[in-house]
Amino acid sequence: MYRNGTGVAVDKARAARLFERAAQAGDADAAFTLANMLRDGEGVPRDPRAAQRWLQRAADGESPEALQELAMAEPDPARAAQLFKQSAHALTHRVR
Amino acid sequence: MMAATPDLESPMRTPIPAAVLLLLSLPAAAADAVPSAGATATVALLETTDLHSNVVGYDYYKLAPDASLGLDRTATLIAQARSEFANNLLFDNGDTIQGTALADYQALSKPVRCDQVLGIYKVMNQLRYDGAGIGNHEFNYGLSYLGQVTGSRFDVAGVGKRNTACAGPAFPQVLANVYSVKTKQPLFAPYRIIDKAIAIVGADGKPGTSTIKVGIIGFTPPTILSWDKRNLEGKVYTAGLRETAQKYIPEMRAKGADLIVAISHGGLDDSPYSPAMENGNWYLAQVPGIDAMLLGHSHQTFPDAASTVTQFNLPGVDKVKGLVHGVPTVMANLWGKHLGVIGLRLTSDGQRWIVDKGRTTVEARGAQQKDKSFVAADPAVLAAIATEHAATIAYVKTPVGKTGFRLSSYFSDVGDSSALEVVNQAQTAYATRYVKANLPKLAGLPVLSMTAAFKSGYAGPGDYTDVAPGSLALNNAADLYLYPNSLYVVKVNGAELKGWLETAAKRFNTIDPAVTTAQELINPGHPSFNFDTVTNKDFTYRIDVTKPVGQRIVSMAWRGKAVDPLQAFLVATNNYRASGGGNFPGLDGSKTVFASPDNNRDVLIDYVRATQTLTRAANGTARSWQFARVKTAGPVVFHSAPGKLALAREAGVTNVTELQADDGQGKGFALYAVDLSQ
Repeated sequence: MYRNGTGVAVDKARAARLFERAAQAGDADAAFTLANMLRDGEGVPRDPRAAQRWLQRAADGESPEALQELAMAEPDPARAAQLFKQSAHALTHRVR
Repeated sequence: MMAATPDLESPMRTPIPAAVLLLLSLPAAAADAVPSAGATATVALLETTDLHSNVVGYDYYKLAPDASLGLDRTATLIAQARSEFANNLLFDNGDTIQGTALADYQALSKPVRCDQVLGIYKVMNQLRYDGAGIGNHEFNYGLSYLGQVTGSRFDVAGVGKRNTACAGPAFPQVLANVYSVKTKQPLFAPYRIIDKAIAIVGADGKPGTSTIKVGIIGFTPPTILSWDKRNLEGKVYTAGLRETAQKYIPEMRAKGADLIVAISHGGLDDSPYSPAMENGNWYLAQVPGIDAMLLGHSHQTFPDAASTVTQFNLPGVDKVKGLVHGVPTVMANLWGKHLGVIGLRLTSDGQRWIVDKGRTTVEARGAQQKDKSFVAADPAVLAAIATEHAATIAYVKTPVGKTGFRLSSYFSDVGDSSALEVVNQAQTAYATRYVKANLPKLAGLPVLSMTAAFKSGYAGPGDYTDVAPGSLALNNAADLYLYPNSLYVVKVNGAELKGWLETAAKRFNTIDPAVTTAQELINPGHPSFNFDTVTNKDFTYRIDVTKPVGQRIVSMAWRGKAVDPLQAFLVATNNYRASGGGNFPGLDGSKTVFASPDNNRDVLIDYVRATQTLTRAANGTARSWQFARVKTAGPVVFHSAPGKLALAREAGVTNVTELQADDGQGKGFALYAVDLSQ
């Protein structure tokens, strides 16, 4: 909402704080968004290492997109294939 | 070796030979039913979980063996554990019958007959499983199929009750928290009590035998009702894990269960308890009377001292010893990669067996060994399903249609849509159909589709999409749509659409027209999978690469009219993009109007099946974008596989020339130039 200015003025810093709170509470989708914001320095100082940590947490929490992101960046094809397979599986029972 | 609990409806599916019955009765007759105080025994509970139909380690889309997974390797771990623990019971946690092309073949392509045992159950029978739970994915093919392959006679609305059960597993399957709406009765036996003959050490130190009554109770995530709404709505309902356990566990004890093992398909979650929660086992462990928990669903390994996963770092969870509120608990990862092994140390108090928790061991044993190699596969597993395996391979090679042209991505960066248009066409057709039928309020909006070239030379000049003319089979669809995505539809306005295309256009460096030396067109920091494009004749735009990032999309028009920043569009894309992958502005899940259960690859397969023959004119030339024309003083260059210029020409990309067959960088790429003034 604050990130995209849906019904409110855009406030990226506030959005980042809210995503962080949700991510801390274990919301994998929020962790994935937070990782993206940290990687691109959106509403927060750019921090690729923190971004990677949140990406990993999102993947541990079965965010299909985080698993795919890790898969696409994985140089070992066998490991990448496993991550893709996990991503595909996670998609089949995401809670919306 | 198990006996049916007499008061639960549970027809023996496999006749037991007289000799086995005799053997079964011997130890019980010869031993004390209640061993004298001080007798001890070790009983191992072995767990597989989330096998997902990976019977043999094989990738049916690559048509190649995969040593990293498969029940054929777990079978070796099972044999090892059995040689170590004379007293053992083998259980499966569920998510067993779905997940590979083998499963789809047996469920959808050539459905297994009533008199045939499903491939994976056949192998599990051979491995002498003692019991199993039911996972959420068991419901994916519907209740009629599930009832058939499990040898059940479901009495649920909309599913004709069978007069006789079909062939099923030879071991009991338990599930306590799913009920038929029609009968209010549990869909499966909620629990079973298995009489297991075991070797013991008597109080006098002498070996002996006894019979232990092992009660198993099964749970699945109540969330199945939303995941498989189509199959389950109005037919079954669920109950929470805690209430269900509180109801049945005293009943199981009253019927003489010495041990109670919860086979629960789910993980741990300490958020406030709800009967609908997906992973209720942090609460289940607190219900008195459970001696061990076999978990699954989360695709994790427990115990694991190094685990950083939230659910294994909760209060009351010992990730080193494998305890949840003191209850020995295991989760054996997924796809047969691990075997869960709980070694229960039991001591008799003269009345019943007591678990000595201090000496009980919990392990998740991997099929991958310390030197990274994998344990050998048990050849008896492949032998048991050789026919089904071969038939599955034939199934994925079966043509679904054909293409009259070569679909390739060598020139996708400069406008060749030959590998992209059919994907966009398939996605557009699917989204249009869905919106018309299910989202009538949005049905008046234009439907666009975005896709990108997933393979664009990242791993070398052989790493491009390149599908030859001729027949297209299921395994070719993975070449055309590499990633395992699901189709998602988002609603955006004209300004957001422009922002999307601007981010995609980061694929290009900013070109200075005045520079006389060669300038590289492609920004390698922006991978090709994030270069989304539209291939729709009604939607046009230009990319001005002389402008900085964020100002490159010009002349964006829908049906010849400039797009208004507030004009709404529906865009068919994938879950990765719609949920924030690549961090495109505004796309973080909040714009998604439809998260389809179907994956983009299947959508493409269905489109090819319906179209039958893809042609260059109809499926491989439309492009929505052109480079904004500009005369540059020097060449603008990019790299692709050598000798492919004719493909660009065939696709109607006329402003490209091959400068050098070897770009001199040692990776085998050629150097091409694009003339931006054309």
